[in-house]
Amino acid sequence: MMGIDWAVPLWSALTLGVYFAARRLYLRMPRLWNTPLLVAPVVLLALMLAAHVSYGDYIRGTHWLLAMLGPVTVAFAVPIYEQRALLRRYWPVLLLGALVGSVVSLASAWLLARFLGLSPALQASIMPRSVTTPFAVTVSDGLGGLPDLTAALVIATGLCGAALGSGLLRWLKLRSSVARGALFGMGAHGAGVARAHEIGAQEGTVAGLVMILAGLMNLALLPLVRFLLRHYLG
Amino acid sequence: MQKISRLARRSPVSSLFPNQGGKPDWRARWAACRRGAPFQLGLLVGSWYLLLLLARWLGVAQLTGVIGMLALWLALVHGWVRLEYVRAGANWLIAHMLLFFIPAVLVILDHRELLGWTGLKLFLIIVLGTLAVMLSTALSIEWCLRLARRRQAARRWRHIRQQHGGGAAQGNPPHEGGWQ
Repeated sequence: MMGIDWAVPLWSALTLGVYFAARRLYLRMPRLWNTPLLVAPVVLLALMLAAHVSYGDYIRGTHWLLAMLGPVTVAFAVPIYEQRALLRRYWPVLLLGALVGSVVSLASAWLLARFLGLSPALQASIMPRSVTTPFAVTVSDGLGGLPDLTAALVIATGLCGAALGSGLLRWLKLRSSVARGALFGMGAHGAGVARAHEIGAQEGTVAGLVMILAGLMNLALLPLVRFLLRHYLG
Repeated sequence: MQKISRLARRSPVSSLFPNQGGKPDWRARWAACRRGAPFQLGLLVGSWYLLLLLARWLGVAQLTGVIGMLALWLALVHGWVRLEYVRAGANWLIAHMLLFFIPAVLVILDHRELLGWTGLKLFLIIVLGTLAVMLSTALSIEWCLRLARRRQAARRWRHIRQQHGGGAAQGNPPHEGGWQ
């Protein structure tokens, strides 16, 4: 006799409900601090603490939501196809930006994490923080990090990056919209793409393309990074 | 992102019943259904799952998403799949990507150490690292485009000079246009 696992319907329904409520709030009053990515987890965290539920119980019920990042990755094919004119025109610079950004992001995280004396698992978890979650989780897994933790760090990066990027843009005075969009797509992935769309349509499109290219680039660099870490830097 | 979500929300619940009163037009209903986000969502998730099973069998389960993306892109480029039959579903997934992150954020419940000293260190890494990434990416693209623009302008200038035999060559080089 198989019992029903109540964690699945209960926590799935709660997560969905809280998300859509937070989203409605954000659409009515779009501010950086009330993004659904901040409000929904806080509400759920309060619920879980009040009900003395562990993360293990929660994730058992909502793991399928995390798995949906797979279909999201597949769905990225549609914007890439739709923006093929832009991609055809600017692919060399976009690829260059993604390469430079990926190398700098992996190297800076590794150097800073070493300098601050973080554990190897934490080092590996924070290295792919600059790319969108589906890719970051894959890279983190390949480097021996904790994929769950990487997802949280990626989101923290997105939130910080969207805020930092706006200030940086005012200071840098970039002339090309491609560079402005790439700044957000590379530095702050999903949250950055949303922010770039608020600045301009071309910025938003470029940011989306760079975000995907950066993910693919990090994945392509994974064997090299793993080799370097194992034989030279470990 | 908002524009995308508005497109996605136009799911054809009412257009599922195009000619009310008369005989149900099944072909029109089927066409409307295929253009709607829910049906496309099911199709996307379903085909992703089948691909996952295949990738797991081949031992490359981690790459399922990327393989699927390349396959869908190829299918769109070659016209095997029409854009309107995946667009609404794909846009819905991308617009609601934040939802799928939420379970991951709650991991801090299991990593209480992140609320203390370690968390501060990680925050420092994120801020400094992100600044470095943004600066290097934006400046490398900006300089690259500027260089290309300048080269192009110089080439055009030389061309004009040759054609007009130095007559037009008295003024300044053509002004570099805006960056659109």
